[in-house]
Amino acid sequence: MPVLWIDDGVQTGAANMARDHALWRGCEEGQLTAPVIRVYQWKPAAVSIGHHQSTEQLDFDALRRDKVSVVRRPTGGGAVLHDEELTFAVAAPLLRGERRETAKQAYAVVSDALVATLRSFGVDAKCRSDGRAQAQVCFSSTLGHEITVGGRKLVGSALRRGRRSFLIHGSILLGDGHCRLLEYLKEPGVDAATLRARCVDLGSLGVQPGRRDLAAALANALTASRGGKAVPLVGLPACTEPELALAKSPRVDF
Amino acid sequence: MRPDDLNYTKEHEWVRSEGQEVTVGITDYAAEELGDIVFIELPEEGRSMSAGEPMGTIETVKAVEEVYAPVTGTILAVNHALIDSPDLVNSEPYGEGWLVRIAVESMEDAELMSASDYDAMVG
Repeated sequence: MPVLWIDDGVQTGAANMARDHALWRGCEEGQLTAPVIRVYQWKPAAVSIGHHQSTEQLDFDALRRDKVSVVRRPTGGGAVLHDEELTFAVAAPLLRGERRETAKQAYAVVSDALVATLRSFGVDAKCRSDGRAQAQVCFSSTLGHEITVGGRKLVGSALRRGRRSFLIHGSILLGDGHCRLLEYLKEPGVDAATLRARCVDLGSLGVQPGRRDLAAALANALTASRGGKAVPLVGLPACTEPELALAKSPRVDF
Repeated sequence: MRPDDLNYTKEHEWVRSEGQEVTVGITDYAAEELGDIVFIELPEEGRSMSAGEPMGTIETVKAVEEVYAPVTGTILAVNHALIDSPDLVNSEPYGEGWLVRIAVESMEDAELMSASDYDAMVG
């Protein structure tokens, strides 16, 4: 089975989340029958919150002041300020039939490929074997199958799983711009110094892969574990209005 | 051994039949695999559902999972206790952690299996 990949450039937060949702729906409904990797960035920087995460924690005055939008992910997990990062989505049909991959197994497949990819860039990445999350701020804690360098978190991730497919989001830090998230939360539960100490970014490691390089390398790494070959994807499934509406649901009016 | 008076689905739900009503939850296997549940989204009472249709989501710290209606019918009740205590699904999956009660209109499309068949499936 091929693994499809696409460098999807720089998009708004709502477009990014709706496009990933559409990819996952394509897998869930059977229009997409091969894993798809989409790599992208955010402009302007935006906060994403998990599918069910409450907006009560958000400081909307600060968000309006800085004109930072907020989007809701179709996946779970905590809040992330997407700035100075490479983001990827892996939407893939489940391969185990009636015994669907569990969330842990799906994470393991993608994390193994991600570790191999980062090592190919010269990064001494490791896959964390366990851990407990502090749910509000994604990068303040590291869970099982998340990626660390020197014990510090490099990649935040979140998952959605349906009957036939899964979607995994990953944020690979390029710089420490994500730490500004704390300015937009009423009670972040972690201070900036602690957050910085718990994370590491590729910029500080002297590595700056491009979107296209990351997408192709990740696809090649996934084929190593699942067979097939990496193939560039031309065109994405169209987003639906409900997918856009969900992404925009934590509305911030400037 | 799982309760043998229940039926089970491939999506790791259990179904307790009582006349024309069924109570639905997720199995201990699913609860264990999911890990700590932090939020549950369930359908509105009175909503009609078809067997196999997504009826809600369960969110753990890092994942969102779909939950499916195991039979065709109308949602009679949802477990409101899960709003404040979603962890009941982890601690008492076959008891206080039930999800919904459904008035059954049809079992035609329901794909249910016995406890022993479910045990064999999850190994």
